[in-house]
Amino acid sequence: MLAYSIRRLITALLTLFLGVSLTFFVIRLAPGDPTDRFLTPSMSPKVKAAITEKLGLNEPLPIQYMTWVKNVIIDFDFGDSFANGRKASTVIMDALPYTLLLSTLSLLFGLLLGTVSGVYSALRVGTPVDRAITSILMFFYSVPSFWLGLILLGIFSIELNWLPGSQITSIFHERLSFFGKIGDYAAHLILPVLTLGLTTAPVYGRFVRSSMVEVLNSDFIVSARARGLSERKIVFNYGLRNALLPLISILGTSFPALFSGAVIVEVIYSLPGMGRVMVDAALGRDYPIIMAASAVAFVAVIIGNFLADIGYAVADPRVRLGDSS
Amino acid sequence: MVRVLFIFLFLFISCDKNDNSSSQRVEKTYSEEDIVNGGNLIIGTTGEPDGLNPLTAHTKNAKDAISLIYRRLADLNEDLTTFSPQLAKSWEFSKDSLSILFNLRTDVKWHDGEVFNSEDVVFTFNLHKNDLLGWEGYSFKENIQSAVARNDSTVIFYFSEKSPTLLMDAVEGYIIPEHLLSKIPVEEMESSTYSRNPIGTGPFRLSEWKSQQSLTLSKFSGYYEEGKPRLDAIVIQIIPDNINLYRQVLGGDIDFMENVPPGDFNKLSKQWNEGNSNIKPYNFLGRGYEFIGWNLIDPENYSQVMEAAGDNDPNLEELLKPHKLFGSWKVRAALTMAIDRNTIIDVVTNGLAIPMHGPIPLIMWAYDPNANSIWEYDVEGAKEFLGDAGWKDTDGDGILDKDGTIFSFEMVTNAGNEERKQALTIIQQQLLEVGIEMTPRVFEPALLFGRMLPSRNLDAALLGWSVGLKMELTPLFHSSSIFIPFNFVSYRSQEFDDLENAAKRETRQAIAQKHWNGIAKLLSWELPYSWLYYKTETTVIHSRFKGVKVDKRGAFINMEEWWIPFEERSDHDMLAEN
Repeated sequence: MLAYSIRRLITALLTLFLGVSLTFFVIRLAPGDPTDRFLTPSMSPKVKAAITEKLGLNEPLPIQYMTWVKNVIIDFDFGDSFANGRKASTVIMDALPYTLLLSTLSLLFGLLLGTVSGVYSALRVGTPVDRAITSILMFFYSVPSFWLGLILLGIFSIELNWLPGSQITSIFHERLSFFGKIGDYAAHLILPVLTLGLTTAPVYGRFVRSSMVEVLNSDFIVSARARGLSERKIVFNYGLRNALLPLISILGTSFPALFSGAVIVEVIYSLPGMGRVMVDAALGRDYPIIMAASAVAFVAVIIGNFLADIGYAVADPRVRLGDSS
Repeated sequence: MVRVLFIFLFLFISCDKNDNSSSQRVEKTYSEEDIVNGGNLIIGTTGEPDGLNPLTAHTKNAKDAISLIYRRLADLNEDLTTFSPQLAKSWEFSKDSLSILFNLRTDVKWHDGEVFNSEDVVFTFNLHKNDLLGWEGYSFKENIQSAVARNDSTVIFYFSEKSPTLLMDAVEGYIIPEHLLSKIPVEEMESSTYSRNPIGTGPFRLSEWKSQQSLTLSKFSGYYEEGKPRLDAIVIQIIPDNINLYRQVLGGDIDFMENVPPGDFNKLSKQWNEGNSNIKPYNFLGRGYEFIGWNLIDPENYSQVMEAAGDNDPNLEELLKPHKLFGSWKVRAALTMAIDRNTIIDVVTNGLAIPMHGPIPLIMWAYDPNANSIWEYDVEGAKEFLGDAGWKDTDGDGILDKDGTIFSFEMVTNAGNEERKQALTIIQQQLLEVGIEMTPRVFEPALLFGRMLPSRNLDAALLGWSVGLKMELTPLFHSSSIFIPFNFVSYRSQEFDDLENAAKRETRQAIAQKHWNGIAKLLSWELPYSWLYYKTETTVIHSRFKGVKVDKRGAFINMEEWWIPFEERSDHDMLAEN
């Protein structure tokens, strides 16, 4: 198990390095350079030249790459943002917690909704209720999250004015009591979590349903029924436990999707997370921020896959055996 | 993504365009004795400042906040030519007009309690002049040789040559604290933590900055102007989506917003004038204009010549060939007559803009509406000019041709600007009327500004420039700018060069005005651009704020004087500043 994990870890790090290096060259292929944002007629060309030199953009690309690799590996320094001079790592660390909070809450909400609806459907396979739930899930599966986000924003924030539609806190948040602050955060997070959760829940829902149907028709359930165990015990103790195991693998792989979904939802709801950092950086050709942010995204993908593999190995001994033989 | 929200219904032409002026409603008047302190202003903005160090900040959001935190030696008046004292009490020119002596205030404190003095002024100037820093106002300081402190409260600026803008050049830029920044190497200025912990001498100090969320500026009790600022705090809320921001203005969460979408602004103006709203609209001349630039040279030839000879070959100009379509003045004149600016303004800006006919921005002192050669919308005239230039529809397909070439070209603009995209569509239709096939193309800004403009690889571009407060046309049209991106139309004219050189040196304003009029007449006749319209600002401010002054310099010019009567205070004001 340990050897397997170490081997996976090394592959993961290699993937990370290659992925981020590829990003380095790809974003430089995009037209334009970061000094373009300073373009105003009143600016002298001398100033532009000075800025280019200051940002190190006058060096040949391979040299820029070597410098970047050296700084990242030796000093763990992703450089300073071209846009505001702040350390890329600081910018990311400011924004990351909000994205993680949003992703985690949405994951939990999506999982809960998916599991409940999946089990409920599975117990009523083929009935109109099952078909209705399936249709609703398919609807949320097919709508883009930005569209759903805008609709929810329009209804609950703009028309009904029940919930705030932007930011993570209200203007005078600091003056609220402890519970007031928690409530304030919650009010601001309901719509974003709803948006992201509703669009991810169908994946889990469909998965849980089919897995549950399969488990409920398997021999050990039939024999449990024959022994006269209560239906509740059969569904929750035997059925659900076995049906949820395979979910581990899709949880890992759905993490990156959740991350990129969060990026879009954050922009719609003006949340101070990675989404806005990445959009601004991409438009402004803020290379250090793009690099640091994509490193974080790569890490999310790799951790997701890594956890899925490990989890799967733990859950299913055949994976381990097959791998080591 | 967010811009998807900007769906302008451009089929509908605004009906109430006649009512552009801000306020017709009669408001209560107040006297000096009525003024009370306290209350808060909530500003909504779509972008976060890129730092609050005046040396390294570039965005408008940053500059607005900086204008509240820092002071200059003197502040530009509404006429854009004279100045009012700020950190300098007074100033005198030397007899030879080659130096200015500033008498500084001695009662000014920095937000950290240190006393402001002449060392700060000299320190700031030396950084402005430092090449390594790349301060964007560098061109203002080019004519200044040195700044010398005679004593704690006197500074003298020495100039290389006489110019009408000596004072403007000297006082440009906010004064920064020597005691905090002298230890920071120039290369590290932008990444220094000072950008997020600014210390100024202005009426407000930064008390909190929540990344991507908000900035709180609190009243600086040690501010040198007695009794000011009136407000306790200014909170700047960052809401990236303009529509969402506007909704919060309507909902009363935000007191102040700029760039309200024109349709909504007209609606608000109507409500305000009927007395049904407490959101007061301000419509005033802004700082930007839109134009079409015609490439005057053959782009293919340009790139070949550039490759073959490098940047500094003096023979280059002779090698450049005129553009096959726009090299002809008759054609440019015809195109200008074929475009109906008023329709574009009505559709694209809901009437909130002013037609523009020449190169001088409408807010500048040198602007004289009578100086421009005006090409009115005239389809027949356009057809006639095109015919004179040899363009006829010989094959009857509705498109003009000449020697086997059809009159067809691409007009480019940058992505992310809905107004320009709409304008392109309208212009396409208008040009088709005179038999010209124009294909609109939208490019990503980085591609357009970073590659296409520098390489002249385009036929025509619909763009906009933002306007500085100093009279300056060199980057756009002077022959010395022929290889920089701003003169992307590659205009060159000895007459223009001579006039502009003379205008910029002339210290007598009346004579300088004549030179600028000459320039306006020349360019609006030769038409390297077809100027379209000058934009007006659509700013809204909650009516409980009194003493508000808004003019062509913007809406941030006197916020230290804004105040709120007790009877009009809202939830925003009740919450005491902690």
